Amino acid sequence: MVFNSLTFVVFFAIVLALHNLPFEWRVKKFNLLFASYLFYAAWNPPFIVLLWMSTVVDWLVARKIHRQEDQRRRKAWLIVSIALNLGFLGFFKYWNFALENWQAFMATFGVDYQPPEWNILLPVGISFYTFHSMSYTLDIYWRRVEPIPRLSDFALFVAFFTQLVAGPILRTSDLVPQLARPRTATRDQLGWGLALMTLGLFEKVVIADGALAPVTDMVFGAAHTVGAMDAWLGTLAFSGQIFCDFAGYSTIAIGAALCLGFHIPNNFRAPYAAIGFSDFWRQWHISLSTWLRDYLYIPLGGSHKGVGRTYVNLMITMLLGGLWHGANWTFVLWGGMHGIFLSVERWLKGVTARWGLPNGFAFKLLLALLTYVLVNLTWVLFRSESLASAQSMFSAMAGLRPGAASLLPTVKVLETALCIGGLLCAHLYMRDRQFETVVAGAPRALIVATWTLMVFAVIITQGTGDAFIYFQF
Amino acid sequence: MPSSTSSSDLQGFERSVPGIPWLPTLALVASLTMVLLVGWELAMRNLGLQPGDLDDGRAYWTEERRKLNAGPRDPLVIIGDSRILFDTNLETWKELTGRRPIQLALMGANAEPILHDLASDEHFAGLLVIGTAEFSYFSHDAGSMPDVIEYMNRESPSQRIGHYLYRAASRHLAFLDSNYTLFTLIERHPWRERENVKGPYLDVWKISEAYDGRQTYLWSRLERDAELRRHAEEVWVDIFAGEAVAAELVDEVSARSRAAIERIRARGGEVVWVRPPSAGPILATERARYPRREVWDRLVRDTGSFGVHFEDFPAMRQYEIPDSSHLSRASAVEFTEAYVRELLENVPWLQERHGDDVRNRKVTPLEAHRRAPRAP
Repeated sequence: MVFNSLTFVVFFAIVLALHNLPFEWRVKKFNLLFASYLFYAAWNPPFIVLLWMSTVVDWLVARKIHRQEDQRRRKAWLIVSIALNLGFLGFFKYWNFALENWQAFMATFGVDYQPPEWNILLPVGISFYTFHSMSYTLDIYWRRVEPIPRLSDFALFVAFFTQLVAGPILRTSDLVPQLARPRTATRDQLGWGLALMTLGLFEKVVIADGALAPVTDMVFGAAHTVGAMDAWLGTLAFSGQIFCDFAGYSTIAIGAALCLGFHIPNNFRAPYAAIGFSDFWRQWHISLSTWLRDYLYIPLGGSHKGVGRTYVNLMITMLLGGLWHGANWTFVLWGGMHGIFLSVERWLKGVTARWGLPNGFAFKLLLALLTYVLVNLTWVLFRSESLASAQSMFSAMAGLRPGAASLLPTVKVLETALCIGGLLCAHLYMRDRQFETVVAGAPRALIVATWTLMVFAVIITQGTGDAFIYFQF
Repeated sequence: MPSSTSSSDLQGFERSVPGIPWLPTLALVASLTMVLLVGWELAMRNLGLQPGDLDDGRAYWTEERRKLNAGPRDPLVIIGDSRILFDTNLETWKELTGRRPIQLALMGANAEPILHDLASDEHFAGLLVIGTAEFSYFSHDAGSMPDVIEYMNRESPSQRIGHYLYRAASRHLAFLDSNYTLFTLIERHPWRERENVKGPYLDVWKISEAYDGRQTYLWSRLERDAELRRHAEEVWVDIFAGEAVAAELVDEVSARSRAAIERIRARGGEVVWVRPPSAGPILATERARYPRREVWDRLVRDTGSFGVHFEDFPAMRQYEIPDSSHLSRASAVEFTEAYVRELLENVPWLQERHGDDVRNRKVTPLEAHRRAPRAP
């Protein structure tokens, strides 16, 4: 079920009530596990079997790896776990993509290969829980953590409903220690958790779905005919939509967990105030960027195997990171663009280290805006349904379609300008500040008024979005 | 947004909480929100929204469609666009035939995909009434809800539960109406538009109210509010404008329809056509774009089905059509009685299943209108 639904409101109220009844901790954890499976099955019940298989196999394999001293056998068990997890992911997410590309490849040799039609449904959140679960066996293999004694604790770690389908991607050390002792929220944690949930819902329902999604849909749906202004507005709108959609989800997840007494790390900071792409990835989808760093980039050698290899490792990591987002070349190229920008930035840092570049606010602001513009160029690939469509958008943004008719109505232009302007100001303001500190320092009347208006706006907007963008990944 | 976290050795992260009394703040927020919502609800009722108006959509459609598989093989089913949806009183049908039809018409929909869906459903062997506005049916476009069948096939348990909860809330709250959301209201302002851009001001506004079993009528405020009627008519004129329908399209649609209808007949079912009334500039446009002889007459003839066209019956031309495209609630009752009686007179399938005792039962339109479900 989605967070922005009446179903979730009822579900969460019941879970919260049960969690605060005087049951034993063991029973409360069972309640949470049951609720998490219910939460997942509410999309498509049969897919829960995949989640169970992944959970049981990884738990058993991790025990085997831990007990095994022989390095070859340890590796063999690790391969079992990775093969299972990536096998599921590969089949459900990439099988059709592979067939399409094989068909195109054969066509280049004049072979008319017609693949059988596979009507494969993508299980919601499979990319997230696969990474979630795989990180455990990898950590055990690298002897970073001890095995989790109880299957039920591991199952809850994998399936905890707050972040099951769209992150943050948790590590064993993030959540498992919290399962050791009884946890319920204090009154203040409960209130703050609900405030965070409201903020996340406001971002998702009002800004992402209400204000920006229609703009994005209009512009990218007419990618072959729009002019420069509309193309840029559509792209800027998408930058706001995807942030508010995804950061909104993470904020709701963090708030919901806090209401239950669990503490989940941040997944976003202020990415659109980032200075450079490495800074951007420290603030955008932090749990994925750190996952890729720790389980892919560093094992590949990171920056410790020479300059050339560092760039290769960066590109591999970002290309695979792109592919993780979806079975489409647009995502691969999106990752590739980020890899190139990261590589260029790394090179430039080396070249300009002795130049004594200015360090003032204006220069930083200029760099932040430049980064934001470049990030927007990558979003074109992310949002476009095909490379041809992306190419059209780039042409339009470059002003190569001078006679194009206007597309967006005035009200949509105003909404986009207001939302994106507000978002950028908020990110610039929050760049070097902690959210909790800012809230703590605000007048209480302002907090009450803001919170009230956000709740009210969420209710009267009545979002029609059935899913968060990142569910498809 | 950044927020602080700190590590503690064994317990993972500990998030900090801003140091204000959160529960009293929450209580204050809840109270103020309640005040705002009561005000909003009153404002929406003042605009003509009513609790109990169920804000029809694909989940309601799916619920009705599923009744086909759960019920007898020979139900009465109505498909089509907003005209047959608003212009049909389901209780009148029941009074005249003994059975209440399943309403599967959809606003702005092309009925053809639904016809093919029913033709493919081996369980269906009933009477299918296809309400036809030529603009919707002779189109390459599936209409405003093209994904409704896909939605039905993939509706998740959480979507279904959400639908039931939303319906329960809609019975008590008028403001739960997708036509009166925050952004819809913002967009209804007549903003000055950029050159050659058609703004959302010219979108279709709320035109219907819907109750249980998808009994749908033209929104009662539209009958009273001249400005809303003017806007609706302006929108229809804009939407309906265009070139005359291509003969090839008529050929294709007629052929596809005939094939689908033959599949239904092969199982013992039957299909009939109904052309509900329109008037004024809308009817003039329809006559110009879809000449009756080449379109309607051709469709009825090619498919070998019985058809009721409102222009063939003087009484049906006298109804009240506030927006030139949909009947008023009172006229919908009268029109339903008129066309159902025509069907009873002329369609053997219906005669065989609904004997003279039912067929001759006299129900006055006013009586049926009185019995029709309406907002509390």
